[in-house]
Amino acid sequence: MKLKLAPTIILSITLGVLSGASVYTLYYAKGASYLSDDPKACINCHVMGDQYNSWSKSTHHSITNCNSCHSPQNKLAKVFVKAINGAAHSYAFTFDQYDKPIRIKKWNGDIVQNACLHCHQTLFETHPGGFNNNLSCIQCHKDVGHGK
Amino acid sequence: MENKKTTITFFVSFLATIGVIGLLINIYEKKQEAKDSFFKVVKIKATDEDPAIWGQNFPLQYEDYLKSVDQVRTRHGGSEAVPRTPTKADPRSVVSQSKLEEDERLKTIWAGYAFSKDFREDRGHAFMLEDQKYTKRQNVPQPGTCLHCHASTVLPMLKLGKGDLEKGFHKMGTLPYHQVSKLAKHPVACIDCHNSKTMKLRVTRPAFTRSYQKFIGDKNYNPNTMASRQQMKTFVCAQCHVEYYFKGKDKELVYPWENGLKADEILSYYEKNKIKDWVHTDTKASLLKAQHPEFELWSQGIHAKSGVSCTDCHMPYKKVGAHKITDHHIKSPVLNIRRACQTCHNIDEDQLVERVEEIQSRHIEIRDMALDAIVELIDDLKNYPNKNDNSYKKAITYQRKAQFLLDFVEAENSSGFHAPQEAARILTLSLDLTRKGQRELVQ
Repeated sequence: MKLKLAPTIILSITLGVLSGASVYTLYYAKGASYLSDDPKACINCHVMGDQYNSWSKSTHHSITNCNSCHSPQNKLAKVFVKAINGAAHSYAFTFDQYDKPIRIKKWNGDIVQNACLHCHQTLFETHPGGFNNNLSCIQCHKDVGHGK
Repeated sequence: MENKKTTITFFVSFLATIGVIGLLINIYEKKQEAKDSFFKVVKIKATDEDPAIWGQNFPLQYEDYLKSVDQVRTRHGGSEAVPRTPTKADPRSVVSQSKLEEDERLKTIWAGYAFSKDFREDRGHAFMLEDQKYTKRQNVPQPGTCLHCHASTVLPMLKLGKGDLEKGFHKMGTLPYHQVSKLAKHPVACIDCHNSKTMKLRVTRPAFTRSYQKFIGDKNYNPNTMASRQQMKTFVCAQCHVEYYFKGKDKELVYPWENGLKADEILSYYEKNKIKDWVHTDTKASLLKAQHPEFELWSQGIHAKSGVSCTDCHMPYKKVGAHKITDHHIKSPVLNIRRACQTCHNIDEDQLVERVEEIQSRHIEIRDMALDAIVELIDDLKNYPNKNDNSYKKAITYQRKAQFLLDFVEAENSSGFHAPQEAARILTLSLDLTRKGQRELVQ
């Protein structure tokens, strides 16, 4: 009887250790914070320190958080984009696979551009000298959100 | 069957546990990185010259500083390591390529001057002292003044002046090179640009402060108390990367900025004070040799006008773990486009390199035209029958002016990049003067 139960007990202990370690890792890494819009979640790891600091002094500080510009306005799309970027960033940071200084990718840049237009559509229409569609807003207004 | 399932489940969760704990440790390490970890291992004294002592407190900066021994080529600059057999007089086993062998025209324009005997591509800061000690230009006795910039000389100057930097600076010029070089132990080191207590940038070279005072017309100007931090990020380099001459029999080091920083303004200063470096062997013209005027040319360019300092591109910030530090491996920004250029220019790396090389290639094309013209003028002067008539005397003054302007741009180490349009203007001025000299001889 005892001998027969042994494998099941070992397996249970292993699964217990796994789930315990997982839950603790999630807690230690402040996993739940990623579900929020709190900018502090973005500096859980130190990569974004400079961006966070300069954003907190920027003109957009009082009306935006990181997600206002870096994720889509549509709620469902937002969850999707956060999941993809979250997974990619975890991989990049854990295995040190990212450009230094950090550079935004094209598709994430497009999300930012759409966010500019979401609030500033009227500005866009009255932009002095017209507007060149090949340029993004932040190419010229690059420090409005945050510095480097 | 049950057993098999149990075994598989066990191994999967076994591996997953390893993964999770691995991740946990990785997160822990990254969190440690983010903590500020400055360990003051030693107390750095104001007279600590050895960079290894400073390096104990600043290991990251010191590690990068040591890397300036590298020899890397860029398209139009950089140095190549050339092996040589060491001799007793010159123990170097590696030197950089000879510019005289690469470009014969330089021998023609510098005939009679030590530079026509030995002139090699510059190497990194690490070699500044030994390359100066062993260049064949030392066959002509040189004054101790040369060490003002080719070594860490804060301490040697203090020793010579018995505690007074200004006095030591003055005394250095009166002694022969090899006597002063015995006091110099290191190439440029931490002490030359940093305050040992606060680590703030500081100017330690009296020649810079004196000459800058003349330039701005304020004899009380002190960069160490009056310059902004951004200015200091240029001034520490401008202590040495400038045009200079040795004034009077005491060989006092002077940067000729009284009339301004532009090449023609510097030339006008030399004309007024009747300065000459040597007499050309073939034409007997009294000539001037320009030396690495990086600060002067940079100050005429768009980057200077936009408030970009030397260190912003040549020692850009970098991240090590969570720490933002200044890269003390000083090098060409072309070798470090990402940190040096892309911090401001949101353009692809390839395109940025292409832009730089295009500017430099155009510059070299104009330089070649101006240099060829001077070689032609020297030829015409050599073949001119009457070396005593007025036309000849006038033509050699054109050689003097044209050659200095050309040399100013040639000796400058950015292949025109620091201020492309200004470099083109100086070269055009030079070419114009050369042709006027040739016309004198025809008339």
